[in-house]
Order: sequence, then structure tokens, then C-alpha cells
Amino acid sequence: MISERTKNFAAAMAIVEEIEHAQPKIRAQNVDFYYGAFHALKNISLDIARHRITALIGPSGCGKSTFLRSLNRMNDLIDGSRLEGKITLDGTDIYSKNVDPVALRKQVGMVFQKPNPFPMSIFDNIAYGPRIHGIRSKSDLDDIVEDCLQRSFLWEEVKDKLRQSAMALSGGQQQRLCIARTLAVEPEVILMDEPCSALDPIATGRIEDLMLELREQYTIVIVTHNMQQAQRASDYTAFFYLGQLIEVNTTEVIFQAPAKKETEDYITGRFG
Amino acid sequence: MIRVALYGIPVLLAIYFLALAVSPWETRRKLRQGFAYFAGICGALIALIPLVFLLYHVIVQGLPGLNWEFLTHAQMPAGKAGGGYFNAIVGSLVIVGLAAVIGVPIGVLAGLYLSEVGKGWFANAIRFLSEVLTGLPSIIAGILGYTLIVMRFGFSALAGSFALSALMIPIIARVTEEAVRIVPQQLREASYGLGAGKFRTTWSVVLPAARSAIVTGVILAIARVGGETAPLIFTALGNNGVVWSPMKSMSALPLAVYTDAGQPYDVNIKMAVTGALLLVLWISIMNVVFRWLAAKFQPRLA
Repeated sequence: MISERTKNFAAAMAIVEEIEHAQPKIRAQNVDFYYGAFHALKNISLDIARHRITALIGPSGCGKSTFLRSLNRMNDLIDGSRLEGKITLDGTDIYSKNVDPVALRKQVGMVFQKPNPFPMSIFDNIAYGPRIHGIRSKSDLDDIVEDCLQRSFLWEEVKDKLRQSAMALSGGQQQRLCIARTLAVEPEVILMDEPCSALDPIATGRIEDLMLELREQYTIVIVTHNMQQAQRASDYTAFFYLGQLIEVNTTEVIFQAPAKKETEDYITGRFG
Repeated sequence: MIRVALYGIPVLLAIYFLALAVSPWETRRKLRQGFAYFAGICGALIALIPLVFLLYHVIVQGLPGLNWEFLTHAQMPAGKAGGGYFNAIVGSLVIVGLAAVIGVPIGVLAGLYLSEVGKGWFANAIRFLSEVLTGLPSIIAGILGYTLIVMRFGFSALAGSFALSALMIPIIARVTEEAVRIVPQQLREASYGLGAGKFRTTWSVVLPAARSAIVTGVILAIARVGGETAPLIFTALGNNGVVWSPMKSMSALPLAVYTDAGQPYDVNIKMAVTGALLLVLWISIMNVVFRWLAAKFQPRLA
């Protein structure tokens, strides 16, 4: 009897866990975004799957970067911008009054289009985040720096020059450094805004491998102009056009059997 | 010389325009290019003439007097030979040093406020005022120090530092604002993206990135006030003895040059020219050294 109950309970817990896991990490509901009078996002509702890579594609100016930047409230920094609707992270409304955008950005990290290491040493770049969040001990910082550089496949290339300026690295190395720097604050979500647009194909390949590796632990949202990249390195793809979300589905469906004509036109290169 | 210029320039211009009128298009383009080049060089040379003349005069007249005694002895009473400007050198160091201690932090903070924090009418008002104050006639800074400090506490080096810092603050604020403004926005976003707040971002990322330009501005400000005479006449007053206490009246290089140059004795005028040479040397050396330091410690931005 008891063992039957325990079994049932365990089964129930497993289901709960599964449901929880199936819950989207981020959920945007009816999001509208304005830059002053310009209506940049129109009624976007989109779920971002946990531990998956979601690619946002679409022609320039379609709102995909704006959407990405609204997920960690980076748009707050722009004067005269305004968001309506609701975006939740694990069920918490990130635009509610009790959410501190500074704390939010620790949970939702960001990698930018142009590699933007700080003008300091490689070590200090990685240690910047942990330091501002209160880690002072030299040995802890050493561990974090090595671990993050290992995970971003940069350690072997830079382990002998951690004290040198990060500005001396190549573009691809700088971008991997920026990813390592993001990992160092242990975010739950990583937003990537065209992280490979300034990189050559080899460096791009390394970043994509890295993303697939990171998927195990993080939820990743990437904006890309590169169709092949979306195909190679994402689980879900969302197509944006003129501020609207046209279609979202698994990457396979979007690229093989899109439901909407606009999507098909875009991915086959007929416009955009 | 003047007659040559008077007739020569119009004649040259006439030949130039005549040539322009009769040449084919391609030649005209080259002529214009050549003329602009020539005019640019002429302008630069003309601008240099007063500087070269001044330097020549100061070096030729002043260098013989620049000896060990000049650097290590205080001024003698007017008309007496011998002595030096040690009191004025000490005074300049103390007064300008204190002015920098007062003015640099306030100026840098004001500049940071203007570029990173301030918005709306208040910031605009401050920006406008600091622009106006950048051109503040130095005599007014002197009167300010006189009214606010000297009338209550008497003449002192500190009052002089106060007056000089009033000249420094708007310059430093403006330069800091400009320097901080050109720090790429991506750097700030990178910092915010890691969960850093505004203060942290400004302090740890923006300020170091703008360091070289800010230091250059600070040197410019120090160099400018280092040569100021008028504010000190009303505040530090001058003193023939070597004084270290900022609470007493004190001499300074420009002040000593000013008073000595007005004396009817040859010895004093010679001393004044040597003092002027020392002032020029001091400011140039400071310029070179600080610029070198700033470049050495400037992080690479690209």
C-alpha cells in the first residue's frame, strides 16, 4: 500500500517536473513597443522554450532586435521608449514595479553585435561581473575566470596572457570573451544580438558550437540575419516582419514547410 | 615688407583668378587645389610668427639669468641685484596645486553629471553657464575670491587657489563632458548587460575609457591658471619671502613677473623676463610629461 503510494507520488513529481520543464522560460504576451511615436513591435506574443535556442529572423528594421532587447529591459536606456503588454520570466512579470532592471540583467545576460570587451585586461573583463556582484577573493575569481574561458573554448588561446589587454584579441576571440564574460555572472538566459555578424566563417562556427554546448544549461535567444546559422544552430525560429511576429515554429518546420507566404518569401530570399 | 605685401597679394590673386578663368577644367581643379594648399601653409606660418618672436625674445633675454641662484633664492627688495624667484616658484606650486585639488574633482564630477546623468532644463542651464564661465575674464575670478574670502579672512594663498579653481572648473567640466560623451555606447551596454548599475558603469568603465582625454583637459586647465596674474593680485597679493602656509599671502611666478616688470630698475626687468621663461618652460614640460603619462595609461579602445 505504502509502496504503491510512494510510487504514485514519485510518478506525480516526475510529471510536475516535466510540466515545469515544459513551461516556457520567457513568455511575451501582447507586447507593443514604441520609440516615441514609432510603433516598433505590434502585439507580439511569443514563448521562449527553456534550455533551447530560439532564433529570431527577419529583415532589418523588423523589430527582432527591439524584441530581444526588451527581454532584459535594455530598451529602458533609450529615452522616450515605452512597452505595453507583459513579459514574464519564470512567471514573474519583468516589467512590474518591484523588479529591478539591474538585477534582472544579471539573470538575463546579453552578447552584442559588435564584440565589446572593456578596455582592460582579459582577466578583468571576465572578473568584472563577479566583482560587481560581490566576489572579492582572488582564488574565487581565478577559478571563475578559468572556468568561463574553458567553457567558451578560449582558455587554451589566452591562458598565458590573461593580464594583457582584451583589445589585442582578434574579433572572434573578443566575441568569445564577451560570451565568457556573460557566463561569469551565471545568467539563466543569454540573449545574442547578431553575435557573428562581425566575424569570419571559422569564428562563426566556433560560436555556434559554443551555443549548442551552452544550451544544456542556458536558455538562448539569438537574433540573426544568417539563414544558415538559424538552421544550423537553433531549435525554434520566429520570423518577424514590419514589427509583427509572422510565424514561430520549430526550425525544421519554418525552413521546410512554413505556413505563411511571407516566411517562405523571406527564407527563400525573395525579399528582405 | 609691408609695401611688398600690399602690392604683392592683390597681384598674386589677380594672376590666380586670371589663370583660373582661362584654364581648362582639369587644370582649374589642380590650380584650386594648389592655391588652397598654399593659403593653408601661409596661414599656419602667420599664426606662428608671434609665438616664435615671443619665444625668441624670452629665451635670448631670459636665459642668461636662469641660474642656480635664481631657482633657489627668494626675491630681493626692488632695485637690488641678486636673489631669485624661489618664493614665487614655491607659491605657484602651492597655489596651483591647491587649486587643482579643489577644481579637478568638482570639474570632473560636473562633467560626468552633464553627460551621464543630467537631463532637461537644469542640466541645460548648467551646461550654458559653464560655457559662459569658460570665457570668464580672470579678473572677475579675482574679484570673486576677494569678495568671498579676502574681505573676511585677509589675503591668502588659499584665496588665490579658490579664485583659480573658479577658472578651472568650467574648463574641466566641459572637457570631461566631451570626453565621456565619445565613449562608445556599446561599452556602457556591455556593463549594464552584466547587471551593473549606473554608478558602477560610470566609475569602472566610462571614466577609465575617457581618462586620457580628461587628463589632457586637466593639464590645459592647470596650464591656463598657472599663467594667470589678475586673480592673484586680489587674493594671494604677493610676498618677497618664502612662504609655505596657504593661509598667508604668497607670491607666484606670474605675480612676480608682473610686479618686477613694472619696476623702474633694469635688474628687476631682467628677472621678470627670466621668470617668464621659467613659466613657459614649466607649462611646456608639464604638458609633455602629463600627455605622455596619459597616453601610456590610456586603455586601447579599438
